[in-house]
Formats: sequence, C-alpha cells, structure tokens
Amino acid sequence: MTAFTQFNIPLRELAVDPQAAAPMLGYDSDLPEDILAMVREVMDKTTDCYDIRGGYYILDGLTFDNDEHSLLVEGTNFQTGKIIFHQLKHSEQVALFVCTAGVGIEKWSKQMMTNNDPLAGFIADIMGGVVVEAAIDKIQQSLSNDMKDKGLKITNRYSPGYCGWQTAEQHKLFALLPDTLGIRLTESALMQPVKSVSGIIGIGANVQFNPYTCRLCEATHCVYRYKKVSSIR
Amino acid sequence: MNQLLEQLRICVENGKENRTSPYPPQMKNQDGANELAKQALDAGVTPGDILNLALVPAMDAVGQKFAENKIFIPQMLLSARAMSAAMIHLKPFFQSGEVKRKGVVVIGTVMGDLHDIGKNLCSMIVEGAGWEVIDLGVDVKPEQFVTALDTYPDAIVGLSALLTTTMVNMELIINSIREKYPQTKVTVGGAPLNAGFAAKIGADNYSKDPVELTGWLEKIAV
Repeated sequence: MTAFTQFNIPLRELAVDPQAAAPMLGYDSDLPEDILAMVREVMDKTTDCYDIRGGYYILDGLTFDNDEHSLLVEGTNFQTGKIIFHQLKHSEQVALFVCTAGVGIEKWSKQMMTNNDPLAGFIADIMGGVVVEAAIDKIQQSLSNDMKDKGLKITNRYSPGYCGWQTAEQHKLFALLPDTLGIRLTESALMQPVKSVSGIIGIGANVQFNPYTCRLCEATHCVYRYKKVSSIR
Repeated sequence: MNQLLEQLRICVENGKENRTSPYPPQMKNQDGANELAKQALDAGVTPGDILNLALVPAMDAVGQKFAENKIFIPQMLLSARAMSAAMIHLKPFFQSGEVKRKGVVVIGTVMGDLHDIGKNLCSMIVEGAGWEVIDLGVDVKPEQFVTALDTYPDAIVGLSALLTTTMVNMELIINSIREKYPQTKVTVGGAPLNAGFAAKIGADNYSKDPVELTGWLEKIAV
C-alpha cells in the first residue's frame, strides 16, 4: 500500500459551473435565467460552507475471482458485481478514494429548509453534490496524470451503491481508508458528511476509461443517466 | 369567482410568495400569496373557500404541469413556498376545526437513513394538496410511527429511503404498524425503490414523485 495521497481543495479551484446542477434540478437542458440566478445566489452565499478534502491509496497484489465477480485486495474481498468486475479485471493496481465537501453545506441546506426557504435548501443540497463530484474529478484527473507518466491508464471510478455494487460494501472500503478526513460511516453505510463520495479506480496498462458508462448501469431512473460524460482525460 | 381568490390562485401557481419576492419577474412589485390570503379573509371570504377554490386548485395545476414536464422541481418549490405563505393565515382555522383538511399523512425517513430532501418535497406538495402532514423527520424508528398513529389513528403513513441498506427497514416498520393498526395505508418512495419492492414488503403504494403520491392520496381519500 502506498501512502495516502491527500488533497485539500479550495472551492475556487473547482470553477464550478452552476449549469452543472441542471440535470439534478430536473432540467433536460440549461437552467432558465431566473433559476440560474437563484443557483448563483445560493453559490455566493455558501462559498464559506465548504471544506473540501479527499485523496486515495494505491494498492497492488490484486486477486480477481471470475466466478464470484470479486476482487481480493489487502485481505478484503470486494463483491463488486459483474459490471464493475469486468471494468476492473485487467487492473494491476487499484486506487481506493474518498472525498468530502464537508458538513457546512449540509447544515446550511437544512437551515434553509427549516427557515421556510426550501428552494434555497434544495439548491444547496444539489450544489453540495456537484461540488464533491467536481472535487473527485480533479483528484481523479491528478491520478490519471501521475499514471500516464508511468505508462499506465486508469478506469472510471466506481462506488458502492452503483452498477450493482451493494451499498453495504462501503464498510469494507472504509476499513481500508484513513479516518483523517473526518468522514465516518453509519451502520447503514451512509457517509457523514452526506456530501461525500468513495470508491475504487482500476490502474494498469490494459484498462480502459470510458467517457460515458451509463449504458452499463442498471439504475434506469438515475438523474445522471444519458447526461453525464466524464471530463477526465 | 371572487377576484381575490383568482389572484391568489395565480400567485400560488406561479410561485409569487409576497410583494417583495422577486420571482416570477413578470409579477414584480405585485401583492403575493401572503398579502392576498389576508386580504381575502379581511374581505369576508371563508377560509374553506380560500383553501378549496384558490390554493388546492393552484397546486393541482402545478402538479399537472410538473407531470407534463412543463415545470421542474424549483418552480414546484416556489409554488409550495407561496402556498405556505397563504396557509399561515389559515392555520388558526385549521386549529379551531372551522376548516377541514382531506386527512392526515404521517411521513418520515426510515431508521438508519438521514436523507430528507425527497421527503421534504413530498411533505410540501402533499400539504399543498390539502392534507395535514405530520413530519417525523429522519432516522425514524418503527415505534415512532406507531406512536404518531396513536395520536392520528386514521392517518396514512409515508415512508422514505434513499439507500438500498435502509429501504429494507421499511418492511420492519410496516410490520410494526400493521401489528397495532392493520388497516393503515402505507405508501413508500425513494430513489432505489420500485413498485415491485413496495408490493413485496406489503406497502399499499409506491410513488416515484410527489405528484404521483398526491394522485394516489386523492384516490384513497374518496
């Protein structure tokens, strides 16, 4: 296991586009001007609410089980399910990642909800998700660049709860991650702060990165479906 | 129809909360739902008429537009906020019993789960459709639902979950409820759920969004 590569990311470095919230707010296309203005207003008011931190471990010594669709690493057997297994199976190493936007945005959102401004609360909740995804995009891009220098490629990132990987497997993942970022897991595998992401990325000479992977996933009602094309290169 | 009621209906449908609210831009500097509800009461319009001839039809129209993809969640929330602004003036009449609502819905995010945005959206839209909503919050245990039913025995129960690890707790809650209140109707919702899962755990209904939920409530309220 390599040392944990940690990132503390100022919000301004993410240059978050408010239009990124459009799919989660329900829009098929760009936000209309009046709603866009509200998103910008919430973004302005919540600038100081973020404490964005994340990082990854790189692990090797992987054993793949084709019959069980599982991956054994560091003594932990991840039952990733068929879809993710096939994306990872040519990996020589994996990066276990975690990233959080911090608890502040969640608190602000709840405060607005109880202060009779549900729209501001809802927008803040959505933007918390947009920010943490932008942060992990940045971390993943950094990993991709490092691996390119070594002649290696990376896969897409995969998280428990998606593409058939059971949410409960989050416990196995967290057992291998450091607790220095202040992210903890509830018994029901919910990350706290809620605006956090975690998962796995395959690394190797013969792995593939797909700009668009939604067709692999069985979550047919997911708001990202048919909309999310990764910016990782 | 009373002119004030018509104006109030338009305000709620378009999300105009009060005179100072900037949304929608075309209604800037006009009275909103807050002022118009008060004016209607002052003019002698009954609270029941305010609710049934202005507020509920406005939210029905909002639900219809949402179902047809003509508006999206933000506009729906603006309407819900405008509706709440008008409802503040009606609260005393609900408490005195002068105005009756369609029924009571006890709602909560199930134990182990802390997600509340979807549940809050449902609460607002259901309340806007003329129901009294008792929101138990998040991480709600089976006994809390049963205790709420002790106070509101005719209530319908709504359960929300966002995780595959917590949606399984819905069945435990339904079983606890049915042990004491076998006739209680239970509806479920949340991203990982579907109608098949709802049927399997003994729920009476699954709704994918608040509009579907209010449609189901209308059917069983008859």
